[in-house]
Amino acid sequence: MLQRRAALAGLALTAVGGCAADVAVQSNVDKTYGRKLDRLLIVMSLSIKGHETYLNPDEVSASLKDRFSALGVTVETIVFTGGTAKVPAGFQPTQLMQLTVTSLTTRNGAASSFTLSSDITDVATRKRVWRAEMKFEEAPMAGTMLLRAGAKKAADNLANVLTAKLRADGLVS
Amino acid sequence: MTVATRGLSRRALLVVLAPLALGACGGAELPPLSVTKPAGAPEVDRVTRLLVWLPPTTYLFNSSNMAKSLRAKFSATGAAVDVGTSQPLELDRADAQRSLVAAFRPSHRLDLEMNSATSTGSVSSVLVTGRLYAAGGRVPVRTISFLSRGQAGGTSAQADKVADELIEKLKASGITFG
Repeated sequence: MLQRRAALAGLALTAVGGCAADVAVQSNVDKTYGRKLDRLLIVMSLSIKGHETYLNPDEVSASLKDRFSALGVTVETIVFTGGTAKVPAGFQPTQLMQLTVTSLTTRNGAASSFTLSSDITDVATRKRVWRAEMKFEEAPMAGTMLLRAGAKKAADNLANVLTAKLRADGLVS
Repeated sequence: MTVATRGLSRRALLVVLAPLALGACGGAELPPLSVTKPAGAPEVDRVTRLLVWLPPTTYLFNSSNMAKSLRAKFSATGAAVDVGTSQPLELDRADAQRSLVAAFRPSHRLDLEMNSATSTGSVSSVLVTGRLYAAGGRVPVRTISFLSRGQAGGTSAQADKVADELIEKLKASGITFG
C-alpha cells in the first residue's frame, strides 16, 4: 500500500512538472500601439464541444488576476460558454483579450495537448494589437491522467507564460 | 488496481474506442458543408470578382491545395478569382488585403478560417468557418462552415470536393456567379 501511494505521489509530481514546463509561445504585436494594458477584460473559452483541457477556468481566472494585478493591470474575466458574453457591471475595459482553445488532443479521455489562441483588441479603436498561440505540449501519459491534480499549477504556469510574453512585447511593464 | 482506477480505465477505453469506431476507417459520414444567410443579408447576390482569403498552411489546413481548387472551381463559374493567404498571427486582415483589393477590385471577399480542431488518437476533426462579404462590407452576406477529417484540403481530391460543395451550396442560397 505504501509503495502504491509512493508511486501515485511520484506520478502526480511528474504530471505537475510536465504541464509546468512544456508551453511554446509565438506572438505578434502591433509595434505602433504605444500604450500599455490598463483595464483588461479577458474572455475565456477553455473547451471545444465539451472536450475540456486540464485548465480549470476558475483557477485560470484567479491566476491571471493575481499576475496582472502585480503588473498594475486591472483584470476581469468571463468564462464564455456560448451566446453573448456580458461585461461585468461597472467595469469599463480599455482592452479586450480573448483566450480560446483552438485545438485539443485527447488520449484515454483526457486532454494530452492543446493550443490556446489569444488576441488583444483595443476597445476604443477596435484594432487588434496583439495575437499569440500557446502550445501546451503533450505531457507524459501517466501524468495526463492526474493532471487535474495539478490544475492550479497549470493555471499559474499559463498566467506566467502569458504575462512574460506580454512584457517581452511591451504591453505590460 | 483499485476499483476506482479500474472504473477510470473502462471509461477511458470507451471514450477512445467510440470515436475510433466512428471514424478510424474513414467510413463515418461527415456533416455536410453548410452555407447560411445571416438575418438582413440579401436574398440574392451576384459575385463577379471574388477574392478568396485563406489561413496559412498548418497540419490542420492545406492552403496550397485549397487555393488551387477554389481558384479552378470558382473560375469555372465565370467569376474572376484571386487568392491570398494570411500571414501567421495576422493582426489586421484589411491591412493585409489592401494591396490585393486595390489591384484586383473584387466584388466579393471569401474569408476562410481554421476555427478549431479536436483529435482523439489518430482521428482529427477540423472545423473550418468562412464568411462571404460584398466588397468593402463588414457584415457577411453568407456564412460557411464545414468539418474535415484530418487536414482540411489535405489532398487535391478533398479540396476539390469542398470547392464543389461550397459552390453548390452558395448557388442554392441565392448567390450567382459571373
